[in-house]
Amino acid sequence: MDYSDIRGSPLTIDKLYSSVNSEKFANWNGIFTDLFDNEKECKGADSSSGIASASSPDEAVTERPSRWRHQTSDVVRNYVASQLYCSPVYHLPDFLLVKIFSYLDAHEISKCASVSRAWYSAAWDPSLWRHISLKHNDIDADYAIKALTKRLSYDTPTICVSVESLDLSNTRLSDNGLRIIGRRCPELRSLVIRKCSAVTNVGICEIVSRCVNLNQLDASGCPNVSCLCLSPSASAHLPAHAKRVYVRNLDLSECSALEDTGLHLIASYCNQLQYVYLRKCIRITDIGLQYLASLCSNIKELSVSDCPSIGDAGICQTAERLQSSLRYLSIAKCENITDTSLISLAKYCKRLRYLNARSCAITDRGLSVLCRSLGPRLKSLDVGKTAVSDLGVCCLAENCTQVRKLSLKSSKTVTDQGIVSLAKTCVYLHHLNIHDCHLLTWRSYRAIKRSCKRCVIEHSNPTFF
Amino acid sequence: MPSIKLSSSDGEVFSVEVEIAKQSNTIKTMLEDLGMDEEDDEAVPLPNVNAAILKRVIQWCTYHKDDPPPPEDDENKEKRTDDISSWDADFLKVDQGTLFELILAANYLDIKGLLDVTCKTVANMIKGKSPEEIRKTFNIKNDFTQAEEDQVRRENEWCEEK
Repeated sequence: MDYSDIRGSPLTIDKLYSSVNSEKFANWNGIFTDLFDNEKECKGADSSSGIASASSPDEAVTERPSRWRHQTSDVVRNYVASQLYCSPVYHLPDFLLVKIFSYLDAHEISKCASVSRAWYSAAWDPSLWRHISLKHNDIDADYAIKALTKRLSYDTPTICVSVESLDLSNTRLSDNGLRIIGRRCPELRSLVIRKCSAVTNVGICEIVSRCVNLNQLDASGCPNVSCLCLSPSASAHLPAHAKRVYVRNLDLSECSALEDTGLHLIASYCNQLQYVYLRKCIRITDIGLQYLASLCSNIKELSVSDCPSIGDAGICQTAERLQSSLRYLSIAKCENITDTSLISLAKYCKRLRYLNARSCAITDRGLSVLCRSLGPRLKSLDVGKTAVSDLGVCCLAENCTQVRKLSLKSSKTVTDQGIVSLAKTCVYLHHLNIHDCHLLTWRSYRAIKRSCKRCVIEHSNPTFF
Repeated sequence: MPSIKLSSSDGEVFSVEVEIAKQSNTIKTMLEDLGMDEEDDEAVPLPNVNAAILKRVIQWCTYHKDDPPPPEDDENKEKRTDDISSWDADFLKVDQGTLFELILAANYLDIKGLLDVTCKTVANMIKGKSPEEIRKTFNIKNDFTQAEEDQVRRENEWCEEK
């Protein structure tokens, strides 16, 4: 079928003329009267003809022999007027329709494409298809991707250059779908496929081999993903130094199959990594973390929270390798981590801004060393459920005066004394979590409220109100 | 408070505080670039907006005069439509004709906040509806030929609920 017909401006007065055989010209008046009568019922109207023709009915008419003009122009005007009256949505120019569609999900935009010709052409505007989100879990993602990429490839026969980011989380996406994406979306920069349980390493390797611009990959919660490397066919003809995957932002949290060997492979291919999230990867150990740190020295953000096998050996090595590039570290619920790690972080990672060490086996000693070393650079700290007491908090207050966020959740040791000294110096604090801190009283609450005006205090003490 | 006069397409003149009127980038540009004097008695002509709509636009701008400037569109951020304030929601409880005229006026006057909130309102009217329900809601005629309709259906089969 001829798409230019659909996509171009639909039925106009000109087309109305040309679609009628010349012998019927004698009945022009009749035709328009018929149209007019139909439209009187106001059942709706031809999509954009209202706008498209409103500006040029006279023009269209003057192309005809002058004798038609007198007979038809009034009828045309009435016809157009009746259409304009019918539905105000016809007044909108295409770009405003596109703006309205930009607030809709992919499957809703597709429904709009079946409404009318004008909506069809607006719904397939390439700007709406740069970032595609298909999180509707009733959708067969493989089929959807196949249909969508095919439709979006009309102007460029085999690839769709418009697609830059895809979110297919919680769908039944499989390796087949990923293969199609790899083949058709060479400009893909971001791929989010959280909790797609059908995806395996094969599909992931296909994607990173084909989409060389891929910057962000979030495969968290995919139970069958355990490594990431170039596919054999893609790496066969590449020299050793070019066998690289240029992903910078990688989230493999809750990928329960990920092991040290997989992490080693990932680290050896992706040495540009900057943001790495490995929360709840229960099988990785210090050995895997050492591989990662030694091969990817540009990592800025790292999370290994809830990885129970990670201990001081891994963190110390990581601190030594990453040095001041590390800005963000989460080691929450790694219960083997002790003051040794904090002291190592204090020694090497001078630009650390964020540390989450909740439930670690740390004490005042480690925290004090860290606070003295980082000073005002530290912006956010979580030492909830640890043995940290007033001594540690006072040292924090003394050295880290720029701290914005602090959590002491479920601390059994911090008292009002620590919080009052915190309130004196850390005036920029805007979030304090003292949930379940039973030793704290209204004195703490009042001290913080008085000196840190905009601070949000999360607590569980009913007497504070 | 200095004020300026705005003249609607049907000749009605409104006197508005300059700070309120300047939420419209179109008017702001006119005042700044074209050197229109605030003391000037002459009304700024707005040939694309009629009095009824202009009155509503001024009402919206008056209520929102102390808002911080709306953030630039970030394509990577998911666009939400459930963040319309209750005042705006009440303000936009109008017939479709008025709503679409407000969109056109917001676009012509270049008032980003009003354009965003009106477009969101229309998007919310579309959400969760089948194509036939959308046609009914907006009184749109299905103008596809049979062949086109078949083609469109094939293209969109994937998004039909299973």
